[in-house]
Amino acid sequence: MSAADLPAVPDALAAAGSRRAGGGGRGVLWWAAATALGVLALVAFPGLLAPGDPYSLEVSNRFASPGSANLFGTDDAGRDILSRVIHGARYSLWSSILIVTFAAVVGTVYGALAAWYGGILDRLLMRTVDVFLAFPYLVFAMAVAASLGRGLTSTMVALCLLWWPSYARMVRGQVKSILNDYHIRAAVTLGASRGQILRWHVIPHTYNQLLVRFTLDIGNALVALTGLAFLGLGATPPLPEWGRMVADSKQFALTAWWYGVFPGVVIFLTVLNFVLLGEALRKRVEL
Amino acid sequence: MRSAKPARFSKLARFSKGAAWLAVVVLVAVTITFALSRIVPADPARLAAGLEAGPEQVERVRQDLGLDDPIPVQYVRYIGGLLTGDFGDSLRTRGPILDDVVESLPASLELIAVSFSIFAVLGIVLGVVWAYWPRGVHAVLLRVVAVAGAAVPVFWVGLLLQILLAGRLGWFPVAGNLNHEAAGIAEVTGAGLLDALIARSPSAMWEAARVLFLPVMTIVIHNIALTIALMRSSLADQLDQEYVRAARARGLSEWRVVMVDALRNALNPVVTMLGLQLGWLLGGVVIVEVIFSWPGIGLYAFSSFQAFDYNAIMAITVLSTAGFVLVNALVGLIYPRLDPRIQEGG
Amino acid sequence: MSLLVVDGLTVVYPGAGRPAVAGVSFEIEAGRTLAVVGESGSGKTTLALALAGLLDRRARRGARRLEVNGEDLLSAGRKRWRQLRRTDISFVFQSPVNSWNPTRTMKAQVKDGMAASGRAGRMPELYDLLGRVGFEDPERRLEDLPHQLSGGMLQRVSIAVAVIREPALLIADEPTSALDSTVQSEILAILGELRREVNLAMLVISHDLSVVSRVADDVMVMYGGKAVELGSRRNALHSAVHPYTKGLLDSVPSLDGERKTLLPSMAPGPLPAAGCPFAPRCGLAVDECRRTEPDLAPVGATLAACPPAAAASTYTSGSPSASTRSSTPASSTSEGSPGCSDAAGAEGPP
Repeated sequence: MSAADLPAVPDALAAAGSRRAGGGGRGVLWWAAATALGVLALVAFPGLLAPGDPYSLEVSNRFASPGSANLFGTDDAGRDILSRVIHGARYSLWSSILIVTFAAVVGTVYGALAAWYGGILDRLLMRTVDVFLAFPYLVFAMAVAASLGRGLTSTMVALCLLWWPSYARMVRGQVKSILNDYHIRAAVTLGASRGQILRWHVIPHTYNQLLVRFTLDIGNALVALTGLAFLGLGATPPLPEWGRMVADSKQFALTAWWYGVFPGVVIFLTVLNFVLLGEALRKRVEL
Repeated sequence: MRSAKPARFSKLARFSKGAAWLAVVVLVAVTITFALSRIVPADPARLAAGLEAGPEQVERVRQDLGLDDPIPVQYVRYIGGLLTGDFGDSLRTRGPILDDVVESLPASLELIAVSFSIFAVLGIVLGVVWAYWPRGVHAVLLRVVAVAGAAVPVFWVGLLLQILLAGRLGWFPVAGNLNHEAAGIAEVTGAGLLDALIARSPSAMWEAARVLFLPVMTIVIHNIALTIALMRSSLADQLDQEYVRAARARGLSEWRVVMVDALRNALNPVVTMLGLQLGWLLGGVVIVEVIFSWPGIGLYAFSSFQAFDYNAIMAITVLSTAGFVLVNALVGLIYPRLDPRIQEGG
Repeated sequence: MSLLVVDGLTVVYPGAGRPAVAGVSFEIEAGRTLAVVGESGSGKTTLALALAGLLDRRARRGARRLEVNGEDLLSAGRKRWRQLRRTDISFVFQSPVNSWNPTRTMKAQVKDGMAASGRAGRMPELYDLLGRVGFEDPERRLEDLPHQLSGGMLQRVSIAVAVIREPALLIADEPTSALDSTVQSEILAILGELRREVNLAMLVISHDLSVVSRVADDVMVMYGGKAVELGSRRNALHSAVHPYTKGLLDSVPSLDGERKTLLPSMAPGPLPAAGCPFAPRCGLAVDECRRTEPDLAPVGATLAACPPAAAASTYTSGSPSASTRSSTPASSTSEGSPGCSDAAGAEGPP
C-alpha cells in the first residue's frame, strides 16, 4: 500500500479557510498582499530599513531591554535585534522562497510529464515521488546536513530534495483531470496539436492552484527552515537567521526574554501572513 | 453477497503489496543515506579512533571498521547487517545503535502516544462542534486556533511555554523526563506514566504527568490546528450533502444523522491526515525533545548529529522511514471500515 | 377542511434580495395531489422543504397560517417537526442516489428510517411492500451499498420507506427527473397506486408537464417565488390565463412538430426588485406590473396573479369564478376543524 492509494488530504489551511468558515475575502487579500510585499522589501533592501548594523558588536550594550534606542533590545553581544531581524529576512525568508520556487518548478515539470505520457512512465515517476514523500524530513535533513556539512546551503539542498514531490503529485493530478475534461476533447476534435493543447488548455489551468500552493508553502518552508536552524542545521553565526536567533536566545531566556521572543514573533507573523494570503487567494480562485 | 474467498485473497495480495512497498522505500532510504555517508566531510575512522589517536591508530580503526574496502562491498555488508538487525555501532556511545534506540524509544513513544491521543480526540471533537455550529464566539476562537496554531513555529512555542510556565511560574519542570529513582518506582517499560501505573503509585503518576505536560502541549498546539480545520471542513461538506437532508426527512434524530451518517464519512480524510501526522511525529519529535531534553529517539538523533555520528543518523533515518510507511499502511486498514466501497476494489 | 393549509408562506435566505418563496397560499385535501410547476429557481423546492421543516437553519420563514391536520405549525419547534416527519409528513427527494449515505448498506439506513417511525420490528412489511413495487428479493438486495443499486431501485426504496409509515402528507420533490423515462413512468404508477391505497395528500414538485398531467389533481405554477396560477389540472393545463403558464404550455413540443410561441428566454440578471417577477419576460406587462406585486385572483377558470390577463378576460368571458374545488387560497376557507385528515391513516398498505 502506497501513499498514492490514500485519499488526497485537502490542505488543512484550505480547510480552515473554505466556505463555511466565512471570514473576510478581499480585505484580507489586500492586507496580506501589502504586508507580503513589505516583507519582500526587507529582503531586497534591508540596509535602508534597519536602524543599525546587524553585526556590530557593542559589548557595553549587552542585553539592553527594548526601548527607544533598540526597539527590540539587544542580544548577548550587544547587537541590535531589530536590525538583525530585518537583515535576517534575506536568509530566512528568501531561502524559503528559493526552496519553494525550486520545488514548484521541478515538481511541475515532473508532474506534467508523468501525466502527459501516462502509462508505465507515469507509474514509475509517481512511485518515485511516493518514496520521497515517505521520508521523515527532519531526520533526512539531518542526514544531508551531516554529510554536506552544516550551513544554510546544505539545509536548503535537503529541503529542496524533499519539497518537490508534493508539487509533482499535485500537478500530475491536475493535469490528468484537465486532460479528461470535455474542453480538451473538443480541442482535439478541432485539430489542435499536442503542444497547443498543453500550452493553451492545460498549463494555464494549473496556474491558479500553483499560485495558492506556492504562497502557502512559503510559510511552510519558513517553518521548516527556521526549525532546522533552531537545531543548528542552517545558517551559521554570525548570520542573523531567525531560527538560529531563537536557538541562541535559549540560554538567556530568563534574563532577556526579548532576545527569543521578537524573532519568534516575526517568524509567526510572516508565516501567518503568507497563510492568510494563500487562503484569500484560494477564495478568489475558487469563486 | 460476495463469497469470503476473494476477499481473503485480496487481503493477502494487499498485505504482500504493502510489504514490498515497505521494502522498496526502506531500501531507497538506505541507499541514499549510505551514499550521503560516503561524502561525509568528517573522517569516520578519525572520529571512531578518538581525537588523541595517532595516524597509525586511525588506520587500524579504519581497517577494523572495514572502511578501506571498496564502497560496493561496504554497501552490501551494511545491508546484510540491517537484515540481521545489526545497525552498526555508534561512534559516540560506542555501543550497538540498536541498543541505544531500544533504550530511548519508550520515552518517545510515550510522548507521541499521549500527544497524539490528545490532539486527535480533542481536534475531532472541536472540529465537529465548529462544523455543526459554524457561527458564534466559539467559531471565531476555533478559527484563530486553527490558523494561528498552524502558523506558529513549534520550537518557539516550546520555548515560550518553557520560559513562562516552567521558568517564571515554576509550575512544571523545565526539562527532562521522570526520574524513576526519585519517584520511587521501578523502571519497567521506560515510559514514566506506564511505570507509575505498574507501580500503582499515584504520586509518581502525577509527577510523570507534570513532566510530560509541556512537551505534550507543544506538540498538541501545532498539530491540533490541522485536525480541527480538516475535521470542520470535511464534516461541513458532508452536512451539505443531500443524504443528510434525506435522513432528517426520514425523521432520524440529529445525533444519528450527524454522528452515524455524516461523521463517519467525514472522518475519512481526517484519518488519512492523522496517519500522516503520526508518521511525521516519529521523526518529527526532534525539536520538542531537544527543547525539553526529553531522552527519546529525537534527542538521540540530535546528539548523534552534533557528534557527527553518521552511523546513528543513518539508522534513525532508516527506522523512522520504515515507521512512517508502516503507520500509513496500518491506517490504510481502517479505510474499508469507514468506507466499505474501498473493499471491493481489492 | 383541508389536510394541509398554507397561507402567505414566505421564505427568505439571508443575503438574497427577493424571498425564495413569497406569500404562497394553497390547501390540499386528503387523497388529492397538488403539483407545483416551475423552472429552477422558482422557489418550488424551498416551498417543499419548508413544508417538512427541512429548511436551512439560516433561512427565515413566515406565514399567516401553516397547518397540517388542523395543527398549527407556525410555532412548532425542531422537535415537533421531527416528530411530524416520523409520523405525518414523508419526503421523497429528486436524486435517489444522493438520498442515501454512500458508505452504509441500504439495510442499515432503511432500518434507521423504520426505527425513527417506531417500526423497527416491522421490516417484513417493508419487504412485502418493496416486492409489490417491483423490487425483487429485497431482503438480500438491501445488503448492498447504494451505488450497487440502480436509481429506479433506490427510488422505490425511498418511496416505500416514505409510504409505509402511512403519512398524511407525502411531499415528492421531482421524484422522477433523475431517472430514465421508462423507469419514470413505473415510479409514477407506483406513486399513484400507493397514494390511492393510503389516501394521503400529496405535493409533487416538477418541472415536467407530462409528469404533472399524469399525477396531479390540481396544479400550482410558480415563478420567482410567487404562485402565479392555481387551478384544477384540467383548467390549469388547458385554460391557463397567466402569460407564464401559457408560455410554459406552448413551449412543450407537440408530436406534429408544431410549436406555437416560445417563451421569451430569461432576461439576464436578477429578478426585478419590485413588481411582478415575470414582468421583464412578459408580453402583457404594463407599468402597473412593474410597480405592484399582483396576487392570485379568480380569472376565467383558474386563479391567476395577473391583472392585465384578468382585465382581458372580463371582456371575453365576463364571469370570473374560482372553479377549483380543493385548491383555493386559504384565506377564503377559514374554518378549521379536525376530521378528514384521518382518512390517511384509515387504510394502509397490507
